Parts: sequence; structure tokens; C-alpha cells
Amino acid sequence: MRTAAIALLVSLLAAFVYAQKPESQQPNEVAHGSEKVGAETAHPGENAGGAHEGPKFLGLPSWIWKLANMIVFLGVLGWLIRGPVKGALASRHDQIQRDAQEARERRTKADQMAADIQKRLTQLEEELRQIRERAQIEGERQKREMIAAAEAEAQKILQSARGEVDNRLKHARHELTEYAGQLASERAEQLLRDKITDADREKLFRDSLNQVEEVES
Amino acid sequence: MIRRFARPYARAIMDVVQSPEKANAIRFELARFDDVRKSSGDLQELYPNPGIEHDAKLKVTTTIGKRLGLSDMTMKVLGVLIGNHRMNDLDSVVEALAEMVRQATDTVAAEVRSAHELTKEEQAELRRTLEKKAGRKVEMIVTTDPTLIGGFVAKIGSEVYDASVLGKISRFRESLG
Repeated sequence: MRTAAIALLVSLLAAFVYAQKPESQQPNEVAHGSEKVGAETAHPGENAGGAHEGPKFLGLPSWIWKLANMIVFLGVLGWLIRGPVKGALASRHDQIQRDAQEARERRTKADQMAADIQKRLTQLEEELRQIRERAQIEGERQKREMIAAAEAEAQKILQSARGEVDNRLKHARHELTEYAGQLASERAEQLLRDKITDADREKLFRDSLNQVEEVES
Repeated sequence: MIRRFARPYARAIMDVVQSPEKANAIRFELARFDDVRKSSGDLQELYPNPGIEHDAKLKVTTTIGKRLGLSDMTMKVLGVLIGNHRMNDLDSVVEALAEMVRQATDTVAAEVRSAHELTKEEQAELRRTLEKKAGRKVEMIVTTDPTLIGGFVAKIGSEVYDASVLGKISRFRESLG
């Protein structure tokens, strides 16, 4: 840093010294406007101020100094910025290297991921196939079960209907028997009432007495 | 059904006469009088009527009692019932007295329904049979029910002996059902 400051100072000094040297200007060199045009017309090919050599410093033309100054300036400038530029380039190089490495790693990971996804897709296809097979098997099983359940239910309904028919038949038989018994008993009762005599009543009384005696209380 | 108020009257009669037989005689006299009372609408209106004086009711009762040949004890019981306005509940008193007499004589009541009117011999025979069944003396209350066609139905306590033709027909009908 210090070196850079010294180099800058030297460059500025040289420029300052050069700037302090006044260039001699001929009073007649000054031509303006129409005078300058007139002079060029009267003496074509001559300089208005007349022929003269360029300004000099320490016996050397000023353009050499300017050139030297330029070279020194560029040299100092190059010397000064060489470090930071080099550092920046190195840093940039490292950054690019890191980015490249990172990109490679990412690429690797992406490849790995793609491989995983591909593998997973393959597995998924297999799983799908298995699911389809299982669903088909399960569907067949449910179908069989439903058919069996429906058959059982139909059998049950059939048995229930048969039972119902049997019950109704039994009930009808019972009602018919009851009705016949009712009719028979009513007829018998009527006949007995019509035909019974006192002798029958006495006999029935005796029978009833015997019946009561035989009953176990 | 014996009403609660009837038992004290029956107990008092039993205590006064001190003999189940005498109490039984009073019971039958009271029952006879009650039959007369129930058969007459005027008498049924007479006793609960507050507009007719006690003496008038007693006079009518005495007249009827004399005609029926009721004993003095029976007349006194009737007088007490008239005084307590219980004449229209006489049947309940008779029933309570009958129950107490039966308890005192170890007798059980048998309600008999017969298809025809039973002769004395038939009644005696039936009593013997029922006493054999009940294991003690039986007091028969016999009624005639021609709907039975033939035979009889006897009820002793909760036991029912249905030896009637109607009962047989009913059982036959039930057996078909």
C-alpha cells in the first residue's frame, strides 16, 4: 500500500514538474480569424507562426516526456492494480472452481435423484400391477362371497316362506278343527237338552258323583 | 264378599249366643228376613230413607219378623242394624256370621250348582262325597242351573269339581282347539 502511495506520488510529481514548465509563445504567433486566413493564403504551406521546433524539457522533446510519463503512469498503474486484479482473478477462479464443483455435485445428486425416480417409477409399475392383481383377486373373492350370501339369504327366505306356509296351514287346520268341534259340541249340547230325561239326569248325577270321588284332590 | 263393618256384628252375635248352633240359627233367620227385604222394593227404600222415623222402621220390621217367626235375639240384631242404618247391608252381616259359624264348627262351605233339583237323598250323598274330598264337614249351598244339562259343579274354597255335562262338552271343545 505504501509502495503504491510512493509510486503515485512520484507520478504526480513528474506530472507537476512538467506542468510548471511554461511553453514560450511568440507574440506574433497569435493570429486570429481573418489574419490567420490571410496569412495562410499569402504563404501557403507555411505555419502562421512560422517554422519552429516543438517545446523541449531538459533538451528532450516534450512528447518524449509525455510518452515517458505515460509509460511510467501505465507502469505504476499496472504495478498498483496488478495485485488486486490478480487477487480478484484468483478469487474469481476459485469461485468458478467452487461453482463448477458445486454444479458437478448437483449434477451427481440430480442424476442420483433421477435414478431414484426411475427406480421408483419401475417399482410403482410393479406395485400397480400387484394392486391390480390383488384387486382382481379380492373382487373375485367378494363376488363369490356375495353369491354365497345371496344364496344363503334366498335359502333362508325360502325356509321362512315354507315355515310361514306350514304355520298358516296348521292354523287353518286348527281353526277348521275348532270350528268343527264347536259345531259338533253345539249340536251335541242341543241334542242332549232336547232328549235328556229325568232318568238320564239321575244317572248323570250318579256318574258325576263317581267322577268326583275318583278325582285325586 | 264380606264387608269390613260386618265382622264386628257377626262377632257380637257369636259372643252373645255363645254357641255356633244358635248363631247358625240366627244366621238362617236373618237370611230369611233378608230374602223378604230383597224381594220387596218398598222395604229396600224404607230402611235408608232418613225421612221415616226409626220407630216406624222398627215397627214394620217387628211385624214382618213375627210373621216369619223370628226369635227375639234375631229381632234385637235387626233393631241394632236399623239404628245403625245398616239394614241394606244385612247380606254382608249374614255372610260374615256364616263364616264365623263355619270356623267355629270346622265346617267348609261348598257352593253346588246342579242341573236338576237334588232330592234330600242326593244332597246327603253329595255331602258325604264332598266331605270325603274336603276332609271335614261341608255346608252345601245348592242352586239349580239347568244350563249344565246334567251332573253338577261343586266349589269348595279354591277347588272346583266340574262334573257337569256342559263342562265335559266344554273340555271336549277345548281339546279340539
